Amino acid sequence: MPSKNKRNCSVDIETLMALRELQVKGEPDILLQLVAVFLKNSEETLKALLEQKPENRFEVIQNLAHSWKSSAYGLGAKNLGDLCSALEASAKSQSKNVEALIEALHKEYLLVQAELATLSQAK
Amino acid sequence: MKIVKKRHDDDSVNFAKLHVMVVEDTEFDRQIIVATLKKLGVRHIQIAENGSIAASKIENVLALRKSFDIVFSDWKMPAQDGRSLLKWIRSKSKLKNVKVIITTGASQKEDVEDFLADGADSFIVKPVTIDVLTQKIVMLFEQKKKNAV
Repeated sequence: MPSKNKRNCSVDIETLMALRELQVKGEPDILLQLVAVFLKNSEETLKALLEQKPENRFEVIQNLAHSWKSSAYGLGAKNLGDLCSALEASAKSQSKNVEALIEALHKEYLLVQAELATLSQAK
Repeated sequence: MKIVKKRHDDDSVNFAKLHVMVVEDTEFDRQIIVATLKKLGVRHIQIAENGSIAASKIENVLALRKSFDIVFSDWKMPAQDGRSLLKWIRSKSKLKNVKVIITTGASQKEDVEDFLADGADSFIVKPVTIDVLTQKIVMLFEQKKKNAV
């Protein structure tokens, strides 16, 4: 399991602040938009991962983990990104720990989701 | 990702005049790149979810006797991937001036060699940041100016 980052958080605040810098005057709130897209994509990806049968779906799992990894790192969810990276590599090598990694991803995603909800309420 | 503290109004490129295509299958990545380009002042942006849709949109623009200045394309995508799109662009003489920047999650030496061997002008390892995006665009256009001299 990857270690927690220095703030012991699942989402890096500095990354979120950097994303906020992308706000263009007059446009909808960019951070809210990105978080909404991230949560929607994550729900879909997690559902798809939980429905896969590892023995015959390694390629699908590898692709799902690859896509999710990119957005996880992009939003500052480093632990989630690291788990996606591990899952991608495990699926590529058709390793037996794929199911355990999907379970770990599920748990980490719930933490990320809770932190984003807290941050959104604190806004 | 570091926090952006400075403004990015580099004089060497007129961002407002650039025509850019963003090809990404992941909606989140697509939105980050588009938001970053808008922040830089780029106004003409088209998006595509894969290489096949991108090729179709590029054909439509060519039919109007126009083109794109830059195509940002993910490397690994379903349907038509970044490599196929890149090879297609490089096979069209009308697209010879289009700069192609590959966006990728990988940064291994062999991957980078693949991008460049297939005709990419540059690449960005995701997540994309405003600093890196600015640097890549400015570098490509400065190179273009030097080549024109």
